[in-house]
Amino acid sequence: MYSALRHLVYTAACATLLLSLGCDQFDPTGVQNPNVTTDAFLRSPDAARTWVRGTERAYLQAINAVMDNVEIASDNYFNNYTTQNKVFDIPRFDNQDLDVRSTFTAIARLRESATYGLDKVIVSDTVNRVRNEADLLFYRAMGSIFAGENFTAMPAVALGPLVDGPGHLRLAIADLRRARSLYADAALRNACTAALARAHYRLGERSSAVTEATALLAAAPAFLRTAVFDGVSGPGNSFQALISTANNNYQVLPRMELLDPKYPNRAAQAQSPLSVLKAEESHLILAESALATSNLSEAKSRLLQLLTLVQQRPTELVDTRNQRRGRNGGLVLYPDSSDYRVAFRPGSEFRAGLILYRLNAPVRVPTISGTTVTADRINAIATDNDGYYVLYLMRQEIFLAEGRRMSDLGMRFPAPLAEAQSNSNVGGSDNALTAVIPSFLPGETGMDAFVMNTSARTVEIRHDLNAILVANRTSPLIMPFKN
Amino acid sequence: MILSATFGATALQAQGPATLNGQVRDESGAPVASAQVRIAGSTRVAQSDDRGQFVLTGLPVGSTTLDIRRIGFAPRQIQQTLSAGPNSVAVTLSRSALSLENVIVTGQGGEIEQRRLSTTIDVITREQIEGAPVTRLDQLLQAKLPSAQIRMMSGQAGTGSLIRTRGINSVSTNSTPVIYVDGVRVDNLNTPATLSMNLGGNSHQGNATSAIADLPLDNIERIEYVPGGAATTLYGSDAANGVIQIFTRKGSAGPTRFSMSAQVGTETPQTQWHHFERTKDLLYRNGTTQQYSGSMEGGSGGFSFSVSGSARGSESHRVEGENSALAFRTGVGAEMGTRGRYTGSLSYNQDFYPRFRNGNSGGYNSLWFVEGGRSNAFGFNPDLGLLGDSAWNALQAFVARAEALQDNSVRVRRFTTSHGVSFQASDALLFKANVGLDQRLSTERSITTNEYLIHVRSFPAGTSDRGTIQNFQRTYAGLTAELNAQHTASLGPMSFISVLGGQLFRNDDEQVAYTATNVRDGAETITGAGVTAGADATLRVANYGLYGQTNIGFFDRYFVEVGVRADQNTAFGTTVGAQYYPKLGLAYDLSSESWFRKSIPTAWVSQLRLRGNYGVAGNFPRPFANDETIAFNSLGGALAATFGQPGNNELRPERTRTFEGGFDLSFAGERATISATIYNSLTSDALLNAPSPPSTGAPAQLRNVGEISNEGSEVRASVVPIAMSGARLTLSASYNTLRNRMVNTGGTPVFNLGGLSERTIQAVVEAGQPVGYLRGARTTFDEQGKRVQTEFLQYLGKPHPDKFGTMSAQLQLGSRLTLGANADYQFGASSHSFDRHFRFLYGLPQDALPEVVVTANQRSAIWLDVFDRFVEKTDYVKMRTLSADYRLPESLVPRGASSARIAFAITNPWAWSASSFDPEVDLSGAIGQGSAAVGGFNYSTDSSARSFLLTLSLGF
Repeated sequence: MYSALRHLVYTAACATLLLSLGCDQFDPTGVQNPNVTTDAFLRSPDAARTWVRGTERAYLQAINAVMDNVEIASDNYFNNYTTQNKVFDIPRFDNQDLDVRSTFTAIARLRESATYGLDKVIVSDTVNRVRNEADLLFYRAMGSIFAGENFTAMPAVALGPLVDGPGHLRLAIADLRRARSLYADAALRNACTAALARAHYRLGERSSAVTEATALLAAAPAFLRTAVFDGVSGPGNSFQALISTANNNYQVLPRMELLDPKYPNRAAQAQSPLSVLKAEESHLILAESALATSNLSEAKSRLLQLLTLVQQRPTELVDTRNQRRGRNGGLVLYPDSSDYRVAFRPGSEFRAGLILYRLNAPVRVPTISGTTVTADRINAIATDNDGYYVLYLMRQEIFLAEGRRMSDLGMRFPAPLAEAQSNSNVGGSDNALTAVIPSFLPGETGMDAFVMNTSARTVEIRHDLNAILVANRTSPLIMPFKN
Repeated sequence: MILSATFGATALQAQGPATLNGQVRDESGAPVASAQVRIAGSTRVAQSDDRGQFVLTGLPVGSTTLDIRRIGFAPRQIQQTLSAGPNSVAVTLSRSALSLENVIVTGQGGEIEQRRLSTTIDVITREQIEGAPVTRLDQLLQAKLPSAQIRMMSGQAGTGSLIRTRGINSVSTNSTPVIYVDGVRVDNLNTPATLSMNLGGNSHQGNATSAIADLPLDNIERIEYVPGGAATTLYGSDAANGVIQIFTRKGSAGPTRFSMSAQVGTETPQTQWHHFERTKDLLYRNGTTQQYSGSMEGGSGGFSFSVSGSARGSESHRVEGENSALAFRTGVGAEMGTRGRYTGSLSYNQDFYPRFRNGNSGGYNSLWFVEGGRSNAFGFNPDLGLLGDSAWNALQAFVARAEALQDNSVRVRRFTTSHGVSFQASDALLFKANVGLDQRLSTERSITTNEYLIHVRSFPAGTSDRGTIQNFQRTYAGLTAELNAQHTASLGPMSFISVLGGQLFRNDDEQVAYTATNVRDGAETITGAGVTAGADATLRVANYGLYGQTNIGFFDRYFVEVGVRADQNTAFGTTVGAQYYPKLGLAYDLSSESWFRKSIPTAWVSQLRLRGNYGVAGNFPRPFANDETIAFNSLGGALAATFGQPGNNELRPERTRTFEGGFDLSFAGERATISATIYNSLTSDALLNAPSPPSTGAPAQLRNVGEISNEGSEVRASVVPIAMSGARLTLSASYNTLRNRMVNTGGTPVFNLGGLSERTIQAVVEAGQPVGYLRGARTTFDEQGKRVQTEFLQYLGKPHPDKFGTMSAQLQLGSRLTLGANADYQFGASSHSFDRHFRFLYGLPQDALPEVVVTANQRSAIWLDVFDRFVEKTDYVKMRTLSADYRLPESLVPRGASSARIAFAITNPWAWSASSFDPEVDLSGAIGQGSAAVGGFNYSTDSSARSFLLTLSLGF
C-alpha cells in the first residue's frame, strides 16, 4: 500500500512538472473565436470603406424586404404560390406579422449600420472620409424614405421613441442635403436630388418637390440610379426570384401582364438591377403638380415628355416559357394567351394586346419603365380627374415592381408589436401599432381579383384602383399635392 | 510513460499459480454470457463468453471470493479455495426483476451498486442489443428506455430523431442526451449542421443527417442511461438532458472463439398512412437488406481481446434508396499486475445514405407530389385512384425518372478510440484515468443536373447552365480526458464510497461548404464550373471541471449521496466564473429493516426502497455565442462589414434543478416489480435566442432570460406471470406523465422552434404555454358555409404528449427459445398535417370542412385560415419489434461450429394511430445546429420501413 502510494506521489509530481513545462504548447482549453471582434475591426485598415459596403449590403437587403412585401400588398402582384406572405394581398397587416417585423428590422438595420459608420467607423478610419460620409448619409436617407413611405412610425434611433412617416422623410431630406453637399460626383449628387424630390413629394411639399424634380431633369434628363445586386455572394434581387422563376410566386395583375417580368432570369447567378431613383419620377411629380393647380395642358405636355422617356428606355427579349401563369400549382389561374382581352373594371371595354403568349418563344418586356398608355390617350385627357387617372395609371405601370404602389394607395404597415414589447419608449397601445388601410380600398383580396372567361377569352378586373384613387383624391392618405 | 513504468513494476509481482475455469448458467441451464466474474478486492475480472464460460489465470493459491454479477440476475458471491493448477467452478444465477445490486458507472465517477443510489438508471444488456433487429442506437433504445420518448423523424436512412426525457428543458439546446462510448464523449448531433444539405425547403428539415445514426452497434457490452437531474450532476454543464453511455466488449480470456452471423431480410413501406393506395407503387418497394458480421475474442493470462466487423447493404423500402455501412471495432483488456488494468477500444465505421427532397422544398418533391396532390402542377390528375392506364403509366414514368435523376448523398467516416487505466492503490483506493477521442467526417453532396431541372419543369428544354453541385463537409473531433479516485471505507455501521475527479472535453467542429453553379451534366466535381463559391463555419468549445461525491451508507440500508461539480466552459461570458452543480440524495432500503422483515415475509415483498433527491445539471451555451463580432460578406467581389453577433458577457449555462422522489418495490416472490418516480424540474437561466428589439436592427442574441418547468411521473412495472421449468413469461410496461410549461421568457417576443411562417402554423415559445405549442389560424363558418370569424395566432395543440410509455413481453421456452415483443405509445400530443392540408387546397376529396363551406368559399381563399381543421391528435400505439430467437441443440449445430442460433424479427409490425398520418414522422427539425426541436408537422416525409429479418449466427 505504502509502496503504491509512494509510486503514485512520485508519478503525480513528475506529471505535474511535465505538464507545467508543456502547458504553453498544449492547452486543450484554449479556444479562439475565428470571427473578428468589433475592436479588432475598428483598428484594421480600410475599415470605413468595408463598412460602407456593408451598409450598401444592408441597403440592398432593405430593398428586398420592402419589395417582397409591399408589391403584394398593392394591386400590382398577387402571391399565387405558397412560400411568401399570404395575408398582405387581403390586405391584412398585423403588428405581429413576421414580415411586418422583418421589413421594419431590415430598414432599422440599414439606418443603424449607416449611423454606426458615421459615428464610429469613419471617425476611426479617416481615409476618404468625405466620400464615405456622403455614402453613409445617402444610404441612411434611403432607409428613412423606406420607413416614411411604408410604415406608420418607426424609432429614428435604436430603442428611441416612435417617429411618424413625415418625420422620417424630413430626416431623409436633411441627410440628402448634406450628402449632396459632400459628393464631388455629379451622378451621385443627382441621386440625392432625385431622392429629395421623392421625399418632398411624399410629404406633400409641392414647391420643394417641383424644384428638385426640375433640377434633376435639367441635370440628367434620363437619370437612373439602380440597386446592383450580387448574384454570387448575395444579396440577389429577391423580387427577380419571385417573378421570374418557373413557379411564378408573384403574379402580376392581368392588365399589366405585358410589362412583366421587369427583372428577367437571364443566366445562372445573373441578377437584374432594380431601379430605385429615375427621371420618370420627376416628370410624374411635375405633372401631378400641374394637375394640382388645374393646369391641364402643362400636365398633358409633361405626361407626353414622360412617355417619350419611357419609350426610350430599353426592352429585352426574355425567355419566359416556363411561366405558366398559375398552371404549375398556383392558387389562381391567370390568362396565358395573347387572344385574351382585358377590361380594367366591370363594364369597361375589353382591350386586346395586354397579355403576351409566352409558351413558344421569348417575349419582349421593358426592364426599366413601361406603360400601356399612349400619346393618343394622353392627348384625349379632358378633365382633371381623367388627368389624375392617366397619371396614376402611368405611375403604377412605370413604378411596377419598384415598391412604390402601396404608399401611393395610402397604406402603411404598422410598427411591430415586438418593438412595443422591447422598447420602453413605445407604448403597447400606440396608434402606430395599427396599420393604415384606406377604407375605400377593396378588401378580401379584391384588389387582385378578376374574372377570367376562358371561352370568351376575356378577363374582367374587379376593381380599377386608379379610378378609386381619383374618386377619393381628397383623402389625406393619398395624392399628396392637395394644392 | 511514467505511469506505465510504475504499473510495470507492480506487474512483476502479479503472477500466481492457480487457474480458475468456470461456467455460468441460469436456472433453466442456459448459458449466461457477459457475466462479470470478479476476484473480490482486486481489479482481476473475467467475463463469461457465449457459452457461459470464463477463465481466470495467475490467481494466488488459497481462499478467495468470487463476485459474479449480471444485469437481470441476482448477484452471487462464492467462496472458493484455489489450489495450484487448474480449478473449476459452476455458477448458477437466478433471475431478478429488480436488480438493484447492478453496478453502475455512469454519473457516479466510479462503480457503485444501484441500490445505494437515489436515482433511477436504465441498463440495456448485450443480449437485448444483439436481439434487436435495428441498425442505430436511437432506434434500439426506442422501446427499451421506459421513461424516454424516441421518435424517428424520417424513414430516410441515417436521419435525425427526436429524443425527449423528462420534458423539454431548453428552447435553444437540442433535447438529445449526451452520449459517451467507453468514457469518451462522442458526436451526438441530431440536427442539421450549420452548413448542410437542405432538401426540406425553408422550413426546418426533418431529413438532416444524425450523428447518432452512424454510431456502430457492433460489439457492445451494455448501455447505461441516466436521466437528467441529480443523476447527471457530475457531468455539470453538459447533461441536463441525461447521459447515454455505451460500454464496448473487451473480450474474455480463454481459447479464441469466433462467431459469424448473416442477416437477410426485406424492408417494406408502412402503407397504412398513405392516402393513395398507389403511392406505394410510385415511391416504395420491397427492398432486400443483408448484413454479415464476424467477431473473434479470447485471450490468455491477464489479456483479453474482442474484435468485430460487419458489412451491411440495403436496397431500402424507398426506390433509389440503396444505403450501406461498414464497421470494425476492437476492444482489449490487459491486467497490469494485480492492481492495474488497461482497457482500450477502437472503432471505425463508414456509412452511405442517399437523400430525397421532402417537406417544404417546393418544385418536385415526391411525397408532396404524390400524397399532397401537387402532381396537379405538373399536369396530372392528383387523384391517383382515378387515373386510367395511360395516365397512370405517364405518371409512373415521370416519377421514376424524377427519383432516378436526384443525386443527393451522405457519406460518413467515423473513428472512435478510448483508453483507460485503473489502478487499485489499496483495497480502499482506486484510481482511474481515461482518455479518448471521437472523430467524425461527414460529406454531403447534392448534384442537381440540368436534365433533372428540365424534367421537373424548372427550366425549359435546352437549358444547359443551371446545373449545381453543393458539397458540405463537417469534421468533428471530440477529445475527452478524465481522472478520478474512488475511495471506499467503513466505520462501524457506516460505509463510504467517495469519488474525487476532474474531467475535460473539447469539441472542434469545422465545416466547409463548396458549391458550384453552371455545372455540366455528368460532372461530379466543381472544378471548372461556371461559378464556384465556398463558406466555412467553426464551432469550438472546451469544458473542464472538478467533481466530488460521497455516498454514505448507514446500517447498509440508509444511504445519503452528496456531490458537487464545478465547471468552466469557453462558451460562458467573460464575467461568468465557475458554475457549481450540487446534488443531495437519500435512499432507504426499507425491506432491510428487521421490523419490516418480521411483519412482511420476503416471499411477499422482497425489496422495498424509498428514494428522493435534489440535483442540478446544466446545458452550456452555443460556442462563441458570448462574443461580440463583426460579420463579413462579399459584395461585388469586395469585403463588406456589418453587425455580427451583439455578444453577451454574462452568458451562462442553463440550470435545471430537479426534485424527485419514488420507490422501488419487488414483491410476489420476485415475480413482480414496480418503480415509481415523481419529479419536478425547473430550468432557470434558460437560453433564448431572443430576437433583438426590431429598432436596433441587430441579429438575435442568446440570453439567459427564460424559465421552463417540467413535472411528471414515471411508473414502470414488470410481472412474471409464468415461471416454471421450461417457460418464463415476463411482461413489462411503463407509464409516464408530463406537464411542460414555459414559465417566463424574460419579455422575449413569441418565437418559433419549428413550422413555417407566422401566418401559417408554427411551434412557438410563449410564456405561460407549453413549449413549442402549435399556433395558427382558426375559422368558424355559419350554416350556409360563410365565414363568421377568423382568429389568428391561436393555440391549436402541442406536439409533446401528456402520457407515454413502453410495453414489452418476453417468453422464454426451455433453455433455447425466446420470443419477444415490444411497443411504445403516446397520448395527448398533436401535429399538423400539411399533406392533408394540401390535398384540400388542390381540390381532392376532403373531410376537414363541411361541403357547404367548400361550396361557399374558394378553397384557396380560406385554406390559410383553417389550420385548426388539419391539426390532428397523434395518439399512437406502435409495436416496434416482434422477435424469436432459437439456440439450436448441439445435434443441429453444423460440424465445426460450437453453437448456432437462428433468429427472426419483424420491425414496425403493427401500429395504431389517431392521426391520418404517421404520428412519428416530422418535418420540423431544429432551426440551427444543436437547437431545440419539438416536432409537430407532418409534411411530405417518409415513414420508417417495416422489415422482416432472418439471422443465422454460428459460434466456433
